[in-house]
Amino acid sequence: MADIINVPTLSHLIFLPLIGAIILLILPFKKNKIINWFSFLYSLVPFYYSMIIFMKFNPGGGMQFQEKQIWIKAFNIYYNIGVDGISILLVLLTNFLIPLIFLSSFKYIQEHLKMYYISFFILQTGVVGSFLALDMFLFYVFWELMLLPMYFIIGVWGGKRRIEAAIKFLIFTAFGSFLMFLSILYIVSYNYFQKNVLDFNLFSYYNMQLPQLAGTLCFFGFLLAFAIKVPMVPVHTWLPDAHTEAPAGGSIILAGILLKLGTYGLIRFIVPIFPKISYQYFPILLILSVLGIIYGGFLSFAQEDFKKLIAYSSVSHMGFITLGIFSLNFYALNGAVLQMINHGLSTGTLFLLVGMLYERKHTRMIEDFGGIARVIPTFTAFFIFVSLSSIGLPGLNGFWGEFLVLLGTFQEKKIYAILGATGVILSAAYLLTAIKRVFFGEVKYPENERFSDLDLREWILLISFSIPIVWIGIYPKFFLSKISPSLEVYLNMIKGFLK
Amino acid sequence: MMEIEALSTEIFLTFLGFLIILIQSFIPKLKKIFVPLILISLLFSFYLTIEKPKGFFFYDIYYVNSFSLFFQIGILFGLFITILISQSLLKKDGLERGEVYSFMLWASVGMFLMASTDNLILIFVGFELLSLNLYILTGYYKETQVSQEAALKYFLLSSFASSITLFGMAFYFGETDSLTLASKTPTYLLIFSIVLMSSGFIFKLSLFPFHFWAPDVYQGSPSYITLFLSTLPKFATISVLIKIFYTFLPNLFFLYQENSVKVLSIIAIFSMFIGNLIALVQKDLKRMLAFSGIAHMGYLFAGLIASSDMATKSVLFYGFAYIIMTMGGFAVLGIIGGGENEPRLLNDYKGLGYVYPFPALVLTFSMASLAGIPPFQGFSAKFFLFYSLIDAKLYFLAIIGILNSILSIYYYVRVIYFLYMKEKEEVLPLNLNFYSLLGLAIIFVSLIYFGIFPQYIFERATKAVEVFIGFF
Repeated sequence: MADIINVPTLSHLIFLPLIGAIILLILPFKKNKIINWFSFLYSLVPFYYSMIIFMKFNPGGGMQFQEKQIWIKAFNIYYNIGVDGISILLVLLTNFLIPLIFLSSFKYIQEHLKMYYISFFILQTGVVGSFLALDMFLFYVFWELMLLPMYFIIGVWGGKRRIEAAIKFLIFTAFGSFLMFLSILYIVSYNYFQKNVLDFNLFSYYNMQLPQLAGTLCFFGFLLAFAIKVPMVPVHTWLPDAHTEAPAGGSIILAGILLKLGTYGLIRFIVPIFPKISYQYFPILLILSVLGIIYGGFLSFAQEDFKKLIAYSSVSHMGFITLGIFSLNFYALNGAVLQMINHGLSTGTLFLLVGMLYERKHTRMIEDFGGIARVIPTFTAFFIFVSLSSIGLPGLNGFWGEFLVLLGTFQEKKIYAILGATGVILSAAYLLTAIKRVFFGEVKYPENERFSDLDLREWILLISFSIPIVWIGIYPKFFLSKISPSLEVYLNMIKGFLK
Repeated sequence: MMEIEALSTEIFLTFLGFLIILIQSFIPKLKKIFVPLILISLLFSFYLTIEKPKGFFFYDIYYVNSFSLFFQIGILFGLFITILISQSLLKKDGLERGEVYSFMLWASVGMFLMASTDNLILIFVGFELLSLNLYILTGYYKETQVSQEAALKYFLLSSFASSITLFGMAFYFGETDSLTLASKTPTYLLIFSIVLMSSGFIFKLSLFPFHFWAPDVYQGSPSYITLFLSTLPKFATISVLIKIFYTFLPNLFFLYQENSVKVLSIIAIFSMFIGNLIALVQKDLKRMLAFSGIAHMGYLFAGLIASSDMATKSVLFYGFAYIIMTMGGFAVLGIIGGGENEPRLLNDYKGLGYVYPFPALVLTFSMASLAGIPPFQGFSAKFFLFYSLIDAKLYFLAIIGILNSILSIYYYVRVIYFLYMKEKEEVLPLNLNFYSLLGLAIIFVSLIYFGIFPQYIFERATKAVEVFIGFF
């Protein structure tokens, strides 16, 4: 028994949140304060465990902490989980963001508090499970587990048009994932006809040899599911709505983690399973990525709603990540994985800050502010700091991700790097313009004079976010050294498939 | 003696029905003991059923094997939940009389017979025993017009369908000189007889083109009857259809492969589309569930068309999952709501998720399960089913099925949205007592448990199909 408690395993990371949800459901807590603090303190446990696992993680060790147990015997489905350099940081980020989201919700969420935390706990189980699952069936179960909690988070605690946004989110995501489901079933049954074994292990399907037409269809089945989640350009339309209408915590987890599942899926599933087919489509995917960067940037520029601005900037930043993945270059891939973390931190914090503004004035329109730097100077300082990190100022985290992606892409395909680099300029343009309009100049509305500056809770939140932002910015090697050995192996594998 | 033992559950349930009617007529004061009595008897029947000697009885027309046991246990399980749920609802409308339970028990005996024979006469006797009781049950609310209308519609259409089945059976006898379902050299007359026979059963499954009765009858009858009517008869009918398809489809495939699959696929595809598309615009929850049931039978029928071993196992699993999911839906519609003659409009359920957390949670889970979202049972069922479709190379059906699942998410989730995301206006009364709470708890646990660990039921289904293959 002592062993189970002392040594955190990956199963702990997956199921602790679920147990938390069950405890919350059963225990007759009535007071908001108790529920708040219980959830917050409880969510620190998975975070603590994931830190221990991160410390114990051996960069050169490939897939680690593996657990394998038969689950559904008739179909040879295993409960098979493990972590490697691609997923370790994402798991850490997830467990890092959840306590902060809870802390940020103390004031914002007043209704149906229990359900709010239960939704988040189940969501956390789904997300961490998807990052860790090595069995396709298991992955799909965790992947779909996220659907309803997120629907609830947007639909119950969201803004005015929340129902529309929630339904849109649900239909888009379900559409993609059901087609992925069909593709999984097809490749499994194809494998069964070839080898006469039912097998759901993800790695058996790497470099899958499929007939041309069926392969292409399955490729698109997977691609659609992940591209919707990323979101890549033609299927991004659900994101601005979902972001805008979700409560601050929902936006943070959406931007911080859920979108990363899409890019994680691209790395873990699409490129290795269909290396040849994806290689054929790389030019199109690269163009879509660049299009996302530029289009997202321009759209951000035109937004009046602060949250929408950040939502479109997400489209733009996620474009960098997909650009890095599809360039098939070592630096670019490193940059892409690091950029997933960076985007989670920077954009997450931006949503948090906008949420704080919303708590003060109950509006998200850029118009309604103006000149408030004089009223709330510390808040402004943090806002500018985080925006600069998002823009990619050297010395802060955003720089390294974008720099590595552009460097790697430039080595492979110059034109995409050049076009992509305009995104950096655009992001500076829209964020700085927005900052100017919101924080500087004369105080436009007299009621804004009464804004209070940061309180203790907000200080703790912002400082916690700032630590990794500066850390990655100054010493990225600490994180890169954890991920790059796995990525090197991964890249060699893909290149081997393509030969 | 062995033969009596083989029929023990059927005999026991029949006499239990009589006993209840007798108590009702002569000592009406003992009304209170009905439900505990039946529940204990049902637990005893579980034991009796499991202990049945296996083999063939009564000159080989009745058999006990894992195939028939799978259905019998499934039916008992469903009956158990039905009895648990019905009591509080009957009481609410002041209609608690023993007859309802008796009719349900006798209907189950009919289903038992359908599942455990391949003799056409016995199948028909079981089928009629079932239908007869269902006619009475649908019309149980004598005073209300909707219930009368539903009963009449059901009676007319269903008896018409039964007579067509009987007509087909007569042709079958004329052509083959035997009343046993067994592989025969196909002739036109044989095929004609099979088509006629199947139509009656397809009617009971409310598949296209015989689906028109379902929404009206479901809407008209009280929730606890709908709960019974919409699940168990379908489950039992599946057993008959499996027998027919398993026996004849391989031969038909051999002769008219292309066409028979095409014709049957049309039934499956149209059922899916009609069910889902019309369910999208329903305002009455009972009607919505009726159309969703049509769509689900469409998925299931696709599995029947495949008629491979894998597909048949999946169909059995799907049938069982369908019982639990649909029962969850109708049970909550009965428990939250006014009198049974009042409609169950989606609008009335606004914001009730916070007023009645547990029943609403069961409804939510049932809807998610029907939509095929993991980790609920409906997801495992869909997984097995679609896998077996792809395995049987029926790609087109699989794709259509998946597209329909996507379509269906919208209306299932809309229920959740009304429950949790709308402001509550007027609060419907709750009719929950100990029994119905237990019933809901059983549904709740099975939805999750059999969703995460489908192994056990799937193994049972595998065994059922294995016996069945050796048999023909």
